Amino acid sequence: MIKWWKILAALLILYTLVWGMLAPVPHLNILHETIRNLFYHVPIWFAMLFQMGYSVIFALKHLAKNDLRSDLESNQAAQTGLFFALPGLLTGCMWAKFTWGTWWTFEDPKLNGVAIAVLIYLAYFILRSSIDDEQKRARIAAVYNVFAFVMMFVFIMILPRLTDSLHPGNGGNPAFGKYDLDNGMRMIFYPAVIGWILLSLWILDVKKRLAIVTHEKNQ
Amino acid sequence: MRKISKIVCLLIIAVCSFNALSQEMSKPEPNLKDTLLSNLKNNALSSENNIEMADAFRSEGKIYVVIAVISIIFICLIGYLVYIDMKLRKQELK
Repeated sequence: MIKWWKILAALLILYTLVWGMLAPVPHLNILHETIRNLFYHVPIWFAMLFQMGYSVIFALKHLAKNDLRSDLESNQAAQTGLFFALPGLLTGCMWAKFTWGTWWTFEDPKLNGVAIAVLIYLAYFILRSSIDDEQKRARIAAVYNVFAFVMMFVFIMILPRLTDSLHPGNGGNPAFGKYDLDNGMRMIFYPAVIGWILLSLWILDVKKRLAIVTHEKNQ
Repeated sequence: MRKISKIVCLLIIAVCSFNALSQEMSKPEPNLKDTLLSNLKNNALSSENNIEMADAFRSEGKIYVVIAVISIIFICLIGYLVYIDMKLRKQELK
């Protein structure tokens, strides 16, 4: 019936929801209890990056094999990834308000990078919807997808590390792992990352099958 | 031989000056991040035990209510996803 990894996804996230609230965490100033956001805010972004990676792999597969199935997978994964950016942004704003004192700061290259990356992917969907011919759309979208992924990676993962950033692990800031991610937190953080990635795969699976069913019905 | 040592000396001086230049250039201005970070360090060192956490709230037991609420919402969402998944399977089998 329901595949084992879907059940695993639900159980892992449920575990992090419950134990993430109860587990002892390091006492740090400014962060206080919001350090627990690490179990919820960060894995969402990991899931988003995973979906975008999945999308670009299938874009490359489409360019290599020229099959529409890969194009469908690539498109659906990009949609799922963009959906995950929404709660990621909202929770990030929330966390920023109560620790950095502002909903959004243009001083942080990671925030700007994420904003640009979201716009780049919105352009991907506009590009797709503007081409009627299936083969042509698939090919152009796949090429654009490769560019979009590289740009997103540069904006989110590389540029914030080169300049000053408020985010831990960027711009000379120590990452959580360096001095305050203790082993107890690791035991929640890593399952959370795996759980959210699996959940994003589940949503992708449903979206993909729905797209195939609708496609078959239309023909 | 003297030519080579000259070139080596020049290179070393050049490398050193680049290093100094880059240090000069990368010197960050005091900004939000630095103030936050130095605050964080100072406070972490000086008042390890005085940091306000929700310890009392936890001992009152109310946190379990919140956890229960979150869990119920999540289980409902997963249940809905399972329902959609099954419904889709039926459509696929048709």
